[in-house]
Amino acid sequence: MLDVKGLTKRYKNFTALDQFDLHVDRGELFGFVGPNGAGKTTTLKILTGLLKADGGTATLDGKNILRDRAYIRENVGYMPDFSGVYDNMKVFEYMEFYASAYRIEGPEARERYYELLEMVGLSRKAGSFVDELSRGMKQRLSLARALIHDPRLLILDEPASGLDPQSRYHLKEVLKYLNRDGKTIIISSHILAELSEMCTDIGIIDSGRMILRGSLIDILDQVNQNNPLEITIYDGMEQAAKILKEHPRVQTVTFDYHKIMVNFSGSHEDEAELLKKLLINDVKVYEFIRKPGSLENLFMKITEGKKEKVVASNEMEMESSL
Amino acid sequence: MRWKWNPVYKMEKMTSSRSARMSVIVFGMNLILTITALIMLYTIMHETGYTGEIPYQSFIQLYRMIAFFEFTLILLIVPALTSGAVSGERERQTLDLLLSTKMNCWDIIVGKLGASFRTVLIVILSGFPILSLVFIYGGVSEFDLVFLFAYYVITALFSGSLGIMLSALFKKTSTSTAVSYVVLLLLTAGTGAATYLFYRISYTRFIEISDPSFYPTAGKSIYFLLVNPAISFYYFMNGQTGSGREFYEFLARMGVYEKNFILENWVMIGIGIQFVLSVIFICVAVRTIDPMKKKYSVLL
Repeated sequence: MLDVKGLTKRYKNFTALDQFDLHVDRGELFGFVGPNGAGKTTTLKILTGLLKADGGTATLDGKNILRDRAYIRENVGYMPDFSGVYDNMKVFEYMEFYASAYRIEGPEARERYYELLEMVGLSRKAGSFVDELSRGMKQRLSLARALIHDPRLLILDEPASGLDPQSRYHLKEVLKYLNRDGKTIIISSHILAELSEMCTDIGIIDSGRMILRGSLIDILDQVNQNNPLEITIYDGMEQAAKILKEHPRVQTVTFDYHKIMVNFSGSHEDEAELLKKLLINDVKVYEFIRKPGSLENLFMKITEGKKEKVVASNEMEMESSL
Repeated sequence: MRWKWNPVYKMEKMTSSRSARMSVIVFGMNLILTITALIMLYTIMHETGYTGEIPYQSFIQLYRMIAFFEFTLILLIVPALTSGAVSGERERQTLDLLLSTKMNCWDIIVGKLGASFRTVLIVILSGFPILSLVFIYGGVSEFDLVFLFAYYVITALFSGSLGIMLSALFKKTSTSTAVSYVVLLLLTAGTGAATYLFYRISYTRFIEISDPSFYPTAGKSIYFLLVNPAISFYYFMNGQTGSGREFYEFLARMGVYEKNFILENWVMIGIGIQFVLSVIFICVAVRTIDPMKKKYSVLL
């Protein structure tokens, strides 16, 4: 659906985006992650026609959106990380104004915005003034506003920022519902745990470049594969050490009292074989687990410059150097 | 499909009508005009009591004074109304939301200008009953009032579009408001001061060379005053209520000027220049907020 190639944006002496690539398929709930200043907001603003790119291409369903802003306005809904409201304006008037800005007027507009206010849980606040709403309510109102013209692609910049846990949960449920309903959603966020709970795919950006992109399941699986095996031995430590040192898939072994940390590059099948070998040789294994990976650990590792060679799946690649 | 009503105009109209600002402006302006008119009327009646004569000319003077007051108030009020038009949206972080809708930059700027205009028109029209005091004894026709109204509209468009342009160029409303007033000061007092400076330089030379055939004159710098809305208004009012000679008498202080096309059609040319500048200001504002155009820069 969305195809970005070689996107570049420079600000005087600083390059915010450097040959940035991104591909988002229809129906994905894509999580866009990166440290502060990585280029997330710049990317989103270019894709919503609010910033001019200095190079590269971006197409939405084949249409060049770097030139055709009318197409963006028709098909993209944008929710910035912070959006203000107008004084002396009620919630339904706010929605009516933006509906009118998208050329939706009259009964059609009224039906549409009441439906959206219901969806985001603000139907009871329709008669309230917008500047009296709490931060969480304003975020929900902003989401309703972004949906007023029924866009196919929704771009949300830090939608959960500043929200309490209950509001975040509600927002997450709404986004999942919208995704199930067929909307393609790109979310930029720092809250990695939440992204991992709802996104189908993620991309990690750093210093203006996409350094990791793929389906969440594949990425976490690959992260897990890179984590060490933790083997806790009750008895037979010497035997276990001998077996591990001779095993071709074992890279490093670290001993800590009864616990052995093993960097093991084998598959699940190889892990099962290793466990079987240990047990056959009378090693009393108390615990044999692969420490589960997390998006946070991967993110920290990548963005701190600690890169390691990762076996790539067909859908995912990660550049690395030791 | 275009809108029946510009959404920005509609929104501004609704929100401004809920705030006290417009009421305060209309009340304040009419209070000043009323107090001025009452003081003048009192003076006229008091004089009549002493002399026994009805000073018809005094009512014309009353009209001129109130018209000048209203003109000055418009020049002062309009920048305050328009200089936050775009910078206010930026400060509220609502400008990006407007730009991401189906409205283009022209729609946004025209909507803002239209909303400010609406306020100014209400302010202008609300002062007209006071101006109509002149009809007690006449001397000014209804058409003169219509032309005066039209002149106010041009002035409001000029200072309003200047305010909107500066609002688009500057990030902060406080900065754009301050710069609006500085620019207006330069256009009014500044052009007058520049012209007078040229005259003084010429006069100094006149004293030095003592040549009877040389007359001190501001020369072609007199035409700086074409962009001065106050001078054009002065000429306009003299045309309505004076003998028409007052402007030439004013020019005579700056040197010897023979009648030419520009001097004869000063008001129309001045209005034309103001109109053209207004269009330029609006175009600059539109271009500045367009994310796809190379920016002049969003200053300060």
